[in-house]
This record gives sequence, C-alpha cells and structure tokens, in this order.
Amino acid sequence: MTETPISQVCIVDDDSDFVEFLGQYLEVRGLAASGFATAEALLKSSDLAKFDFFILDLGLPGIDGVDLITLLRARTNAGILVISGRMGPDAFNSALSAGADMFINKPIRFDQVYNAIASVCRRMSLRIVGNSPWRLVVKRSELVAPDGGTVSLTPVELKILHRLFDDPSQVVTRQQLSDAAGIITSGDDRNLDSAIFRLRRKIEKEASQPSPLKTVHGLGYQVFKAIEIIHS
Amino acid sequence: MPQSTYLDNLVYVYLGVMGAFAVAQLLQLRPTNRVHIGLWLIASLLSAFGVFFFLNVARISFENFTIFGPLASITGGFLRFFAFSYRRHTFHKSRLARACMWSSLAAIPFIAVPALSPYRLLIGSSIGTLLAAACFFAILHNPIWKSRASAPVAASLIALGITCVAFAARAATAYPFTADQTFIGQSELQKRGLESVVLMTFFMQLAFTAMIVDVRAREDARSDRIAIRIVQRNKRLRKRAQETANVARARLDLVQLLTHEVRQPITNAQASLQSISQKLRYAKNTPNNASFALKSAQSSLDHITLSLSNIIVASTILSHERKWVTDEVDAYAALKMSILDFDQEKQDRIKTTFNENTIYIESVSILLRLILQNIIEFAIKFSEPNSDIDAYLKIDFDREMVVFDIGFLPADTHPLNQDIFERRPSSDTEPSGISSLGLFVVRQIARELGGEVRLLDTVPGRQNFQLALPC
Repeated sequence: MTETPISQVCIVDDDSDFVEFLGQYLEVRGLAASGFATAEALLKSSDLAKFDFFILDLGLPGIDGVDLITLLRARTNAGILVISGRMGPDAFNSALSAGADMFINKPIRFDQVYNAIASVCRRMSLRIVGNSPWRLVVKRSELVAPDGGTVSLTPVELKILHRLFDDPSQVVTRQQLSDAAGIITSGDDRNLDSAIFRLRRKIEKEASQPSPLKTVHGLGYQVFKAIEIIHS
Repeated sequence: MPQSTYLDNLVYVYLGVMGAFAVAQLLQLRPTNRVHIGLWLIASLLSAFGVFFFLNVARISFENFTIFGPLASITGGFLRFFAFSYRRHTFHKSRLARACMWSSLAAIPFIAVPALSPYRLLIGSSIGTLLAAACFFAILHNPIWKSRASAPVAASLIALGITCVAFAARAATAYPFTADQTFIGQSELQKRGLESVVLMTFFMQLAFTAMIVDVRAREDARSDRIAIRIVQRNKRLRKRAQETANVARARLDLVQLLTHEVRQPITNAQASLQSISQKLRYAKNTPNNASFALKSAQSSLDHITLSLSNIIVASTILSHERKWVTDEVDAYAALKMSILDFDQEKQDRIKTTFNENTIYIESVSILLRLILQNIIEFAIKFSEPNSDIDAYLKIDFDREMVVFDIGFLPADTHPLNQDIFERRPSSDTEPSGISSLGLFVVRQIARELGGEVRLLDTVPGRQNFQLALPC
C-alpha cells in the first residue's frame, strides 16, 4: 500500500484530534503512526531510532518545535516534516535551519501530508541508500547516482563534472569551468550556464533525484554532496 | 651705454614681476577660474613679448618697436579687459566698459597708418587710457569681483585709475604737444613713463592675484556651506527614512500579529472540521445535510485562510525586510500539494499531466504552494463552469526556467488581461468582482523568486497562466 520507503511515523502535535485522525489516515496508507502531545513526552517515552519519519508542530507546549527539530537532528537522520500554522519567514527559516526537511502550512489535508512525506522521502533517497556517494566513472563517461541509477554524459558534461569533482570543497568559477570544458565564452557565460542547466535536468531526469551541483551566486558552481571519481 | 643699461634693468624688473606673478597665478588655477587666469597669462605673455622685443631690437632701431611693441601691449590690454569681464561662460556686459573698449578698438588702425607715424605715442596712449577705463568699469560692474573683502578690488580699481590718468598724461605730453613720438626712449618723460608702467604692472598683477585668491576663497567657503547643507540634509533624510522604516515595521508587525491571531484559530477550526468530517465518515444515522454544511464551512474557511495568507505574505514581501531562505523544492510535489488544497469537486476538474521525472527548483515551498493555489483559484473562478483546468509542468530550455502552466476556458463575461496582476485600491471595485490581491501576491512572489507570471492566449478560446521560475 505504501509508496514510501518508511514504516514508522512519529507525530508530535498538541491537537489530539489531529494526531489521532492523521494517525488513522497514515495507517490506512500503510504506515504505522505514534502520536505525542509534547516534545517532552516523545523524548521520555520512546526509542527515537525506531522512527523513520517525524511530523512536528512548531507551537508545542514546553520544548518548542524548533528546539525539538534541533534535538532530533542531532540524534537521527530520519525525515522531519513541519506542519505549522505560523506563516512568516522567521518560522520558516528557523525550522529549515534547525534541520527540518520540509515545512508546510496549516490548513493541511491528510492527502497533502502523505504527499509531503513521499516528496521528502524522494529527496532523502541518498540517506536511505546509506549515504553512498555520487560516482563519476571517467572511462565509461557515466555519472552513477547513490541509488545506482546511471546518467550517460557527453564529453563536455564529463569535463565539467570532472573539474567540479576534482576539489568539491572549492567553488569553481565560470571561467575555470569554461576553460576546463573547452567552452568558448564570448563576453558572457551563457554557453556554460546553458550546459549546466541541461546537465542538471538530465541528472534529475535519469537519476530521479536532485543534481549534486549547486550554483554559488556571483561566483560559480560547487558540488555539495559526497562524490568519488573512478578512473578505471 | 649707461642709458641702455638702465632701460634693460627696468625691462628685466618688468619681466621678473610678470614671471613671479604668473607662477603665483598658476598655483591658484582651478576649473572655475581657468578662463580668468588663462586670459591674464596670455595678456602678460603678450606684454612681456612686446617689452622683450624692445630689449633686443631697441639697440638696432626704435622704429621697429613702434608698431609691434604697442600692438602686442594693446592686445594684452584687450585680453585683460576680457579677463575682468568674464563671468561663468559669458562676458559681463557693462555699457561704459563696452563703450571704452569699442572706442579703443576703433583707434587701433590709426597706429598702422604711415602718415600718422609721428602721432603713434598720442594714439597708443589714448588707446591705453580707454582700455584702462574699460578695465576699470569691467571690474566695477562684474558681480564676480564683488565681495566683502573689497581690498583687492579696491587696489585694482586704484591701480587702473592711476594707469588711466598716467596714459592720459602721456597722451597730453606726446607729439605734437612735445617732441616725444614713441613710448620708450631716452627723454626724461619716456623714462618716467616706462618706470610708471613697471610700477603699475606690479600693482595690477598683485591686485589681480589677490582678486583670484579672494574669489577662490569665496568658492571654497560656498562649497563648505553646500557640503554642510548636504550633510545636514542627508542626516534629516536618514532620520526621516528611519522613522518611516520604524512606522512600516510597526505596521507590518501589527498586520502579522492580527493575521496570525485570526489565522491560527481559523486553521484550528479547519482541523476540527476535518476531524468531524473523519468522524462522520464512520458514523451512523448522520443527518443528510450535515456533510453539505460541513463542506460549506470548510470551503468558507479555506477562502478566508487563503486571503489571510496572501495578506501576511504580501506585507512580508512588500516590507523587503525579512527574507525567505530558499531550498530545493520538488516542483511536481508542489503542484500536487496545491491541487490538494481544493475540495474534491474542484480537484476533479483539474487535469494534470505528470511524467515521473523529478524537477527540483531553488524556491520557498510555502510561497510556491501559495502562488499555485492562487493561480488555480483564479483559473477556476474565471473559467466556464464545469470546464477542465489543465495543469502541467514543463522545462523551458531557452529561458532555463521551469514553467507551471495552468490553462482554462475563460467565461465569456469576464475576459482577463495582464492588468489582473496589478494591485488596485480596495475601494476600486471591479464589476467582475476581481480581488487583485491574490494575483498581485503571485506576481510579487514570482519576482521575489527570480521568475515571472503571465497570462497568455495560447490556443483560441483558452487562456493560460504561466508561472516561470529559474532552476
């Protein structure tokens, strides 16, 4: 029944009806759900490691939702979905920076909760498959995703990725990337940006997950996930 | 030749005075006085040339000097007149000064007439008198030389007055009144004349340099005053901006407080209704109209919540104070979530085309959900009843953007155009009943996220909202 690679969901919300009915709904969708009214109740009562996913409210009595996210993130890699009535950037930004994977606003329908869980799980696929790195197989001109999916690369794409994978801790400037890939720049970086745009879309299409490339505005590009270059 | 040595020494003194003051005047040079100093220096150069010419040629023949020397000196005199008359890109028009200047100009040709050669000293001195008078009136009437520190101007006027009298006296002692036909020569009158020229030159140079220094000091003082005024004005503007920002921040906080305090209970009420709805699903003997009433209540609350969300987000975005952090957002999931915001009846009208590929965009998930919710809401509101709403996602490789495309069949009564994204005052009620806030928020958020929203007539009879966001 379930489309997500998780089985145990923990719901923390002081609205007991919401917890009860969401739990029932998730069980219908094949997920086991446990509900808690406060953060303290969750932290005291159970073994956190058994949960694959957490659904949290921000406005909790006692320990606040943002603090709970920080505590959970320190102990587990499980997905964290925040469902809150708070709508300003302050609440949103603090929840994400504390380690939440997704933030959705109330009012929320149960189908949306399930949809959000599925979306977070897709994004978490890297963690679920055991933190495998992205691998660039130079000889076969292939990029292998953490879950084993492969992306075939053109010579220019291979050169771009090779240059980026060479030193993942550094931001590679557009000029350096253009030089490495042999892309002619005629006054602007349009050709390179187009190539990166198409490469990202290709990775997302063929590997079904976000590309490991990140734009560093005003500077260039960088790899922000675990990577490995295989020459043989 | 003891007499020649005395004249030579006088000329050297004259040239030394010219050179020393030329350096002093150059040191005062700046864009605002370059014309004055430039004209004055050329005049000095011409005068020096005239006298230097005399120094070298005098021993051979005084006759040669009688034409070139006076002409160079008179030209220098005209340039001095222009230096005194100049005033910010133009020459000040004093009637008396101009009358003197034109009279002296009219007399110049007589110097070159051979038949009048014995009268050259008389003609030259008369021209000198008129030019000195022209310079006198030019200084007197040109506002640029007027200042509180009047000593340099007074000195100039005195020097010019004396020069004027000296030239007139020289004219009165020239041929035919005496035997002197040239300005420079061995007679006692000629020697005294040259001495007085050297003396007057010294005073004129001193006075002109002092006038330039005075004008420069006044300009500096004016610049300082302007700079102080600018600083004070900037300070006032900063203070006013700070006050405005404080008021805006206070208003924003109040709006957010108000909307949150209203929105929070409404979302709680919605959650309660959802719980009741769940309970009713498994209950027996439910009144027939209970489900309908529940649906109506939920729909009304959905509407209110959407409006409140729009107000909160609009006030946040318009304040430009609080920024949203972006995150990787699954575009398909965001579109699905927005569709699920509508009740089942509306959801059934929305036809989606999803392929299974994933597209991630750098965005803010709750803002994206809100704008898609607004767009779909408007598409449903202004479409033919029960007609299909198409929702799909595509990649625009040319613009390097992800495009959310919401197509609908517009109702005939309300043709929509690009104006719907404009925000109108709340008092401005459209006959169609369009409240512009939702689409205004859509446009603002799209811009905030680096994209754009458009309403297009892609297929005859259909319209499409296209939200393009960078990825």
